[in-house]
Amino acid sequence: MKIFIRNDVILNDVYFRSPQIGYVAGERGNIFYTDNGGKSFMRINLLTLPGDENEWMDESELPSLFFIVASGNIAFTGGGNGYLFRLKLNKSGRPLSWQRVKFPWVMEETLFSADMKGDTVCIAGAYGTMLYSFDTGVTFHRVESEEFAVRWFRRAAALREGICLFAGEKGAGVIVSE
Amino acid sequence: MGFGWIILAAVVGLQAHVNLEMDIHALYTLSSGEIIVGGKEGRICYLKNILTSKNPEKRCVIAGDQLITSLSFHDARGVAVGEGGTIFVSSDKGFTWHNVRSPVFYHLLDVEFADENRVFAVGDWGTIIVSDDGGHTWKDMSLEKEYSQDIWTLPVLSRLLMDPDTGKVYQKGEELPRDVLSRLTKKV
Repeated sequence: MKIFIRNDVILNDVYFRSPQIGYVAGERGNIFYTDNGGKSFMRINLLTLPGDENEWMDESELPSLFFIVASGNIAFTGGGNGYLFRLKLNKSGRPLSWQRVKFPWVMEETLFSADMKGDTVCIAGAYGTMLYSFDTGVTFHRVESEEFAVRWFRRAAALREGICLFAGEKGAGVIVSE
Repeated sequence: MGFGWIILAAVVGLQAHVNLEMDIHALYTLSSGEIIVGGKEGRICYLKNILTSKNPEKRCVIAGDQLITSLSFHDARGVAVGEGGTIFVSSDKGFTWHNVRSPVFYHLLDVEFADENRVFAVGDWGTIIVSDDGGHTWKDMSLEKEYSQDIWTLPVLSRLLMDPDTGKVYQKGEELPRDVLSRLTKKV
């Protein structure tokens, strides 16, 4: 590996969209991209990649990225403080630019996990956060439930297109279908 | 405890609530529809017919004693990873698991099959490990550490530091023992 990085960086997620093309997401807005099956990775972060806003002065201020998923020429990554980014990919899956996803509600809860299948995007997070989209993230909805409001949801899975499963604390499992 | 599920009409979408009976830290959906979940104390459960039955088939095993953080499968072959570098493999869709040797002792936070044989896992301290035989043997290809001169020579740390020889982690503001400082400085 030819990347030098601070030795306290946590790598949270690894995702391969094909045997050759994969991503690792980690702390401080870091994404590592490979197009050779993981023989080498290219480091990309939100400061160096063109984006629609930039509120960070340096890398230490970048949000933690807890997940990265991709489908077609779109990927989603996010994590700390409710940050969610939509990445535009080229034909080789390499991230070209990012756009912060804006929600019609205040979104500050940590997002832990995401999954995509076709146009379906499922995202799980803290304090009962369950987000889903059936149009490749153009519009997101959230499950509103008082019962689960104080529980964390660690994992989200797109069971198939149009169906999300969220799983988390105390055995909570919620399935949402289109 | 019951394991049924109920369907509720929701404001947006249709919701079913499932009682998975444990804190879920890891989740994987097999292409055949079964769901594998993992959690505390090495618990891994296989769930079948979760979408179609009020009484889904469930089978749990205790694989070790560490938290299971992630699961990944390729067909019937699966890999589970967890805290302390824990790695388990399954060849029967997650019905049974056995422990394999890990090249690291850091927490592993995610695992993913890139193809039928090649598997990656990532975690703390820039850890990346890779297997070319479906998870049975692994090699460490972690990010190289930035051995910054000022970190190694300052007796009081400004941030976290790990001794790569022993794995001991020194906290911010903690003074490095003289022998450790001497040994690590030579590495620069």
